[in-house]
Amino acid sequence: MARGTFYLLLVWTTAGLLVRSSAERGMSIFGVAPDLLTLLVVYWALAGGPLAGVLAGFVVGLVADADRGRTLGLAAGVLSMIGYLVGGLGNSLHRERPPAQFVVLLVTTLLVQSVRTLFAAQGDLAAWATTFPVHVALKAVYTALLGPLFYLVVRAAGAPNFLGHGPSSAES
Amino acid sequence: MPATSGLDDRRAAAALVAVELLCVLLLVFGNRLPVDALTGASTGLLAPANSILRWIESVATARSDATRLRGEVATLRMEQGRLADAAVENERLRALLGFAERGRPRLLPVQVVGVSGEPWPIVFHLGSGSGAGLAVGQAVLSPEGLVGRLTRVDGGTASAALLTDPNAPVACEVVGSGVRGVLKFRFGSRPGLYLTAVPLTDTVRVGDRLATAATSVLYPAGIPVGRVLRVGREESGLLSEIEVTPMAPLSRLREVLVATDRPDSTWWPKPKPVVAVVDSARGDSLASLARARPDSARVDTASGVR
Repeated sequence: MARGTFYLLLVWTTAGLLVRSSAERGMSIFGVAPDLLTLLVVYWALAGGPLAGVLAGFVVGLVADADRGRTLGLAAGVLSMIGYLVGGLGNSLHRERPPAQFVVLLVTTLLVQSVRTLFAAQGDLAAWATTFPVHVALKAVYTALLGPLFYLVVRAAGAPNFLGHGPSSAES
Repeated sequence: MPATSGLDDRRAAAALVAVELLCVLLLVFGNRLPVDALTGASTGLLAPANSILRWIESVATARSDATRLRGEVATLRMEQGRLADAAVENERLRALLGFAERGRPRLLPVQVVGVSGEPWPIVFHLGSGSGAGLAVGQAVLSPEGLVGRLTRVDGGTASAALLTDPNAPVACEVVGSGVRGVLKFRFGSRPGLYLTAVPLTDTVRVGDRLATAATSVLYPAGIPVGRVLRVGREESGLLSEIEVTPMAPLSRLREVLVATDRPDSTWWPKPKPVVAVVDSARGDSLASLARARPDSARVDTASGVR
């Protein structure tokens, strides 16, 4: 991974963790907040490949688990798996295109939130089914819209194309 | 971005296996680790930046807040005068009836620097700790009512389990009728707060207010907790299913109040220990009888502290 991309993602991650802990509720629309953790890990994985995805998923997930104070390892395990899968897909995707990012974010957020809410409901499938529309499906749609939007804003602000294929991307 | 080589793939796969194994170990044995220290470190690291964000936010809203607060101050001054008259009358009547004067806990305003919990917020991370007088077990309030209680405190930060934490039930009673029950967050077809262990024979109506029970061993009595939203019947057919909406706006709070002083026993009455009086005729004791009948107020002691 290019140094510029690494620092950019590091700033992105720090900002994401801060926003998640302090202002995530402020970003909620009709009670639906975005899944910033999955968003961070997906972009790490798309930019850096499977190894970066695994490590980013583990670190970000562990911070989230420690923040919550219970089920230590749950978010870390799920997010590192997501990081690996997305990182492996990265080279065969037009990852710099917002529609591709939308699809990847939608699917991964659905997976992550399904697992987390299933744990939160202590395996009660009926309870999980009632939480699915708002806390899983709408959250996934919101996150999938937010990710490409952030990417476009960062690119418009003059940041390097850290998701572009080829050696010329993000070398600044 | 360079193409991922086969070697990189193998390294990534090996890293994934190692990380997943570690996560499974953490899930299984994580409760033996000092999770509180990890939580404290995470909160402590993020607290300064969160404070700056809050400060910027508060500056941005200061003007509208000032206008609103001026109006509120005027209203409160009028209210204060009315309450002063009521206090004098109350004091006179209490003296007449021989009641002891009620003490009040000191309420310390504390900033909420973080919220965690999926999909509902269940923990508030607070920007003050033991240095400010906070201690595990203290009640956390908002001007509207009960928020939760402190479950972790270190030098500069603390964490509070909210009413929405399924592991932090609260012994409550219905204001007016005195019907007692245990408030718990419950999953099911309608996830939410429920007043449990209330027999069908007890009358509870939609709109009734709940407050912490006088028999609660964890919370000061009489703190507003919630309002009854819906009353139904549990599947067993023996108990009422009472859905409750909390008084405190848990998703919007930015500051909370922590009851730091231990109030005197008249404000926070403690149940007297049961004296083992042997009934000579039956050969058993009142103490063993008391143990056999669980008190709703004891529930929050049993599972409320994490």
